[in-house]
Amino acid sequence: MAAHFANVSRLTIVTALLFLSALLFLSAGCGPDPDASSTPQELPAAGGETAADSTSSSVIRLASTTSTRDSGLFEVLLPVFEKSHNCRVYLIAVGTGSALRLGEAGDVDVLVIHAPSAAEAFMKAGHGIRHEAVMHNSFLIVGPAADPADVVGSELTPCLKKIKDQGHKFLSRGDDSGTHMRELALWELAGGKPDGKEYLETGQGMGPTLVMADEMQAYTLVDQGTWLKQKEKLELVPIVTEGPDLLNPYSAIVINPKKSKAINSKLAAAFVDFLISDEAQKLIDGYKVNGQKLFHADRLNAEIVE
Amino acid sequence: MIQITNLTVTKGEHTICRASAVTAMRGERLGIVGPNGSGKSTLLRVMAGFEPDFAGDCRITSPRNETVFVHQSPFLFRGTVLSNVEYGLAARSVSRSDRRTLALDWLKRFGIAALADRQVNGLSGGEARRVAVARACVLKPQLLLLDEPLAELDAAGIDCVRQALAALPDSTILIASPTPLPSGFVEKSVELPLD
Amino acid sequence: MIRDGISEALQLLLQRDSSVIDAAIRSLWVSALAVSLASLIGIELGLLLSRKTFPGRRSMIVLSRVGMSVPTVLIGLLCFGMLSRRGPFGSLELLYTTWAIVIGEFFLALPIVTTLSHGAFQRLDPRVVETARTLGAGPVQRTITCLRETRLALGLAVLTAFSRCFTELGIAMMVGGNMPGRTRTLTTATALETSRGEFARGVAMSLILLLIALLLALAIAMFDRSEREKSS
Repeated sequence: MAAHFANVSRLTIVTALLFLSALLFLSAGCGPDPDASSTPQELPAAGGETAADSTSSSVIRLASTTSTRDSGLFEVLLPVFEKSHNCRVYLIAVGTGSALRLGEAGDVDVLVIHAPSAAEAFMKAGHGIRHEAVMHNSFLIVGPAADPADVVGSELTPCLKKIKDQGHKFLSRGDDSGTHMRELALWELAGGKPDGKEYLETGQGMGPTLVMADEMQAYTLVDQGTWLKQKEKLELVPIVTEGPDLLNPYSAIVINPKKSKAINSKLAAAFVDFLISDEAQKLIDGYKVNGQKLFHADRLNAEIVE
Repeated sequence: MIQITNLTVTKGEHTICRASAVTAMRGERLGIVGPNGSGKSTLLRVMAGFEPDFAGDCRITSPRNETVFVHQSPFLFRGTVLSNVEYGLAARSVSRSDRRTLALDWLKRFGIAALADRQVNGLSGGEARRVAVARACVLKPQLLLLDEPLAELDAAGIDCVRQALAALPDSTILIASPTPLPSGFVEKSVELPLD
Repeated sequence: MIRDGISEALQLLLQRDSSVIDAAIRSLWVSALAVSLASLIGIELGLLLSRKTFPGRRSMIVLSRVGMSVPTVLIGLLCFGMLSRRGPFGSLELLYTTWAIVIGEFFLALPIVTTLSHGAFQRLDPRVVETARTLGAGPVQRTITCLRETRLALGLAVLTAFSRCFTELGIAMMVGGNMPGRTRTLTTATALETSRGEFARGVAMSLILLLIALLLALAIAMFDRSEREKSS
């Protein structure tokens, strides 16, 4: 009986060791996917294999937001850059907060985000060495077709005030994303965000938040890209679409190469140059979703500015 | 009363039990003797209703719930010795206090009254076997089927069983055994295989 | 990061951060309720599948086994489809409430409990039923006896189902909505912290989740040991 036990445990140990070494071997050979549209849990390990890879001139890691990825713009832009520079761009799409964290840690080479104040702070802290405006679109307030607050077509601030005062349902991203930070700033202009039960946080991305707003018949702030992509399937309607405060600017940041030896700042800089080049700006300006223009290029016919 | 005619039980291609005629009258004690593999257990199991696929005739005049079978290797339920012996009484809606009295009574007959509150895991083979037989006897069944009840018992234990069974004069008792039974247990025996 | 996570977890626990406690309690009761309901039905099903033959029994067993591997996002999606305003049960207004999560996790737990308890009953010594029957036990007493004799294996089945529900994300996110104080669980909170870039906090929450699971496993182990010690 004891002998049998010894045999069993030896076999188990050998099997476990084989299994573990297989795992290690496989994980060493894996890297993030080219358009790694990762869910929040699946962030690629920046250490490991890719370190050796990116010191060669052939790979850069780009962190951007899920809404930007969902717009589909990168699928147009990246192949052009990859071809002309004979390289790969690994796209990592995460929440804005995550993207900034990745940049701060030096886990990526370049950021494309739409959070101007966060970007400013980032640059001030010295995490990035170059900051360029790339494009912009707009946010909009959307809400139920029945419009219980009767605010459709009104100005932004009165609209928000009414929603707050009358206690209508409003969904917030609640996730420190660019959209969320803008939403909070807009509430500030309207005298503070609602503190009642009708102000709900979803803690999720823009897509799911829109779906929830649709289901719960609530108002919410959404970026144009996500809106254009999803509006056909929703019963929500645009409520406020114009206003200087609804501007949604996208910028690119080259990460400070001092962060990590693995940072390919030369290629990152080349990428940012590309984004503000005529070629890319034309592609951006001409990009359409469901026949509608999504972004306004900022640097058309402009020169590369320092 | 029990009457078996031309019984054969087959599993696959093998005939595992063959008995041309087995009869026992009310109150009789019959031994079923035969070497290992001769089909003793199977015969008793057929009588207990555990082997539905058989060829031949098996007639039992007492109702089904008056037939109690004790396995060759008995299974004791989780819990105490007492709870095991009381098991069948609970099924017959005997009151709690009566159950306890009857159970203790029979445990005494089997010489294991001291084990009443013990958990069944710690029992020796002989003790467990006596518990199982007591568990069956306490129900005073009209037909009691015991599959090799004396295995693992010492002389004292065998004596206990003999005396206990004597306290069931109205029960028909069939005892399977690999060797002829000691005196005082059965009036007559049949030998298997019986062609 | 893991180190930061551990220290963050300790801080959260010591400070008794209310949002974490809220999420933890919600995760616990939602999973517990779902698993309890699933066990009531699943254990019965497991028993039925092992005792009776009926047309479709084989398929049910296979279905139950396959059901153990269904991704939570799929269950989440299907529940969403059922509970959404446009779905058949939309009028019940269960979407984005904890009840929706309970429903989803119920369907997550059911195949697990059914399959594992079916296995337990299959492995049950046939002498148990035979002894019970010969001693005159009726169907109810026989069933109770079977359940008592498979207690440990059934407990394990329930614990397995609970672990799966407690740590799942797909259902809670999709039909719950991750609303703080209303439908936020430990898992959805972790997902949020990670997307915000608060990795240490995310690790901290996961560690708290693991801690609860560990305490539960220990409790079960102690219960099992005391059961066995009673006998010797």
